[in-house]
Amino acid sequence: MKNIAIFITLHLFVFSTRAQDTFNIRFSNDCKDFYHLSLIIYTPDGRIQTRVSNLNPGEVKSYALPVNTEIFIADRKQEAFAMQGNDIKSTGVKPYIVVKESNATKEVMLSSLGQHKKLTL
Amino acid sequence: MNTFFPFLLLLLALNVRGQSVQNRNWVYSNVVYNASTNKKVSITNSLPKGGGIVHHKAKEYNYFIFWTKIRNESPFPVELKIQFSPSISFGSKDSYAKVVFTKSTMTSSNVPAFDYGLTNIPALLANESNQLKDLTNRILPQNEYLFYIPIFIHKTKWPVRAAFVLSDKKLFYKITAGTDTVMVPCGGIKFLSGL
Repeated sequence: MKNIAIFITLHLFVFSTRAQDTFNIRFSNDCKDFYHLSLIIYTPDGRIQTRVSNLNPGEVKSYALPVNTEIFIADRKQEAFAMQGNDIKSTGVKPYIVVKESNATKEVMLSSLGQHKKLTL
Repeated sequence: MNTFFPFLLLLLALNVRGQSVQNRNWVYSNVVYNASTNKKVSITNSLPKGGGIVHHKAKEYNYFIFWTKIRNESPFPVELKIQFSPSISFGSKDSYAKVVFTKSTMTSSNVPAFDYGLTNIPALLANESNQLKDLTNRILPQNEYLFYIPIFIHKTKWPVRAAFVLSDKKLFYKITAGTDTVMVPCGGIKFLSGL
């Protein structure tokens, strides 16, 4: 009986640790000008979060997100659409990244995105 | 002396105008949402008061007190449920917001008051027994519900603005601190048309 209890406790501990696995993503502004970064984040619990920042040159924004999170990088039009509480996925756009690896870190240089090269609605 | 008198009157007039702050309504936004012809609510979000510093668990926060008024303009009752996650990140580990519900009641007469009449603000953050975990309320037809939204931000940028956004039945809360904006889901509004 005691062994079963220990086994269950260990299982619970392992699964609890796994559930807390996160993925770190950093957005670095390596441009010479400020960068308007607009992220629409869909976490696996179905919540949609929108984060908008103007990053100064050299500034970094970092997020720790659970596995299976989808991140969309929005342009101004998509940002305005999302800020009204709308779901941009319904427009058929694909995520910039879907977080698959846990305990990993990805760095995105904003110059690689371009300020205007993003998907449009 | 004759030329000095109009100048004195002008100064007096400007001074009186400068003190008209008591008459401000402190409204930041007022949006009417129509789900259908019969399902209509309006949401009024205030400008912030406060900005002072409080300490909690060795961290410094600036506090901002907002109020929101939700008016049910439909012939049915509406059910409101709002809940926030413990902290809302602005995208750096160092800057985040905590939205805390208070048990204190906001009234229209508190609008001109300092911090909209909310007191014991450091104790609100420090002691969870002073907080409500969520906000639930049923608003009857042609009635309104007014409530406080105290926000504590660690390493804030300025200015700070906040507003609820309703989309379909889902509520989102949008907080802007300087050039950073975050919008998070925080509950919903349900029309009880079957009752």
